[in-house]
Amino acid sequence: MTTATANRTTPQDALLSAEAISKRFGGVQALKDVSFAIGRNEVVGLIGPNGSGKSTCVNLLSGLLPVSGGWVRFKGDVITGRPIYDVVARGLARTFQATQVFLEYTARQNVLIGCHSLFKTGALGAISRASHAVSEYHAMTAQADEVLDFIGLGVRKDQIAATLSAAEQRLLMIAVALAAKPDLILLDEPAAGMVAGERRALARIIRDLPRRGTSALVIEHHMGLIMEVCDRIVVLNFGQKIAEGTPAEIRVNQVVIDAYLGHRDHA
Amino acid sequence: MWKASAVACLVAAAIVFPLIVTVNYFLHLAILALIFVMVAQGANIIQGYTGYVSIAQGAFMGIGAYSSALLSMRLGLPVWASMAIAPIITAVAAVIAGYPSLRVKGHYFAIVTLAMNMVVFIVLVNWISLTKGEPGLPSIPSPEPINLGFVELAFEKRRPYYYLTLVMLLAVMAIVTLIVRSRIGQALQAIRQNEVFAEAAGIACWKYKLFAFVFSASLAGLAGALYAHYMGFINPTPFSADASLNAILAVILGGSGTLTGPLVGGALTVLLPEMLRVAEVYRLIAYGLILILVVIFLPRGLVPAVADLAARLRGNKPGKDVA
Repeated sequence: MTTATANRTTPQDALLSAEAISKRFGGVQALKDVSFAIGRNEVVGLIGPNGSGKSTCVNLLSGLLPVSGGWVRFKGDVITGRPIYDVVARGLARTFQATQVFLEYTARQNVLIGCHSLFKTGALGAISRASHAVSEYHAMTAQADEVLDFIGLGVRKDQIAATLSAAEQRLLMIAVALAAKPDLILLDEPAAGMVAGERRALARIIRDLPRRGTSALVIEHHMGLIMEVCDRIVVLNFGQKIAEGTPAEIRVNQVVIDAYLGHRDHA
Repeated sequence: MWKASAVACLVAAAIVFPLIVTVNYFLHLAILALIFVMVAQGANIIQGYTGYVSIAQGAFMGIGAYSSALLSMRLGLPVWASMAIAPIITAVAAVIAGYPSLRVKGHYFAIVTLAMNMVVFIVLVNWISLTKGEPGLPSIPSPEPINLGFVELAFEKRRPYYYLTLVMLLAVMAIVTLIVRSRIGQALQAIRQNEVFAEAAGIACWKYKLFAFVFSASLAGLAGALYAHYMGFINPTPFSADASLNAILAVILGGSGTLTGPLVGGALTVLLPEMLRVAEVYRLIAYGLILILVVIFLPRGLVPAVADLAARLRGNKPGKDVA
């Protein structure tokens, strides 16, 4: 393993650390002993050829899939085995490779669903419209609007999600994940299906995340986007980490070039 | 605004109805319709709003009916108390049944609940020492009379019982409206639209699904209790899976995931077969035909279809959401 350790975050001060996580699907070892860490206000890229285990890695970190080995630590607590909604409530949100939104809801209603883990008033208060529940709901609506403005969908907030364009739906999915002001967001191929202009807007959004107190782990095939937004990059191949370093280091890493960057059809 | 006035008209018509109706049998049908609307509204919570089709409303109605009847007959509880306890017993049964069955999705959940309905039915038929089996429980008492000063409501009479059922239904409708329009209701609808994404957005889906299932069951339980003390006699027959299928039908017919849909659907499921008596032996064929035509041509149900039409007549675009 050739690991560039220029400004590597140590597991102790990390926001999230994956510690030798593995995943086995029957006879297929999708991920094997992968370790890395993400610090506060950091954007980390996760790249590798198709089938190298990137999405599996995100599914393990977010709790969508159980790990076969190893553990994930988030803000000091082991979160492996926790249900995904609990992981979200702890401040670790995620998006999906295939666009997911609530199609019948407006953009604002979508983002309000993402705020759900923040509500402090109980179900009875919410149903009986107690005054503190109502004011909390208004505060959440304001927060949802702010997130929509940040993501660039402010003018679309009352539009039904089904009527948004494909790129807008992808942004809306990110807005839902950002709704609860997570400490870390896992973005699984956020630019898929976007044209160059939309990709540039997305790059700006991702670069601005640390300023909002949100770190990001970005899976992408668009090397331009990855090199532009990431502070650090982790490279997977055949389920194993083959490199980690700054974009400049990764660009010239011979192992990465042989495994991934050299193949133009993936770049 | 027109929506509020439509609701007000409907309520006013429901209040006036027993005063102008001359045929006792119509009043009887109206009471049964109100009771079944309550069952349908329960089905709407889990099926229309949460997206999980449950084929157990009939069983929960049965549990409510038998609990209330037996509590008042065997333990000598006042009928008012037994009717209040029946939905709670039904809710407990729903927690026990729902916790494991809500782990499966889609058709599997429907099949599990169908099996539950069959189990409850078999128990009602065979636990003879408790339920008296197929011949049923006779002489179930009516609720104790209430003296309002100017009038005494004797609930063994049809008209007072009609108003009792109406008041209960209005209360249920108010609670359902509050739930559906709260963030709890929004979470339920998010689960229906995309459960995986709802979970990833931070919603503990299992809690909300269990709540929807238990709440829908307790409405069926209350409706069952109202049925038992109205009819004065129950046996297992009206609580078979047929009743559950009728509740599902009522939701689809009226408009799944709308507040007023089950009102229309539930009433039609009771009244339509009666209205079709003019067709004599072809009655059930005509009933089936109407249902098939509605599902094909008005797949969202009657209420959304009428709302769209009304919106178009007022020159607006068809509304997306109907409450």
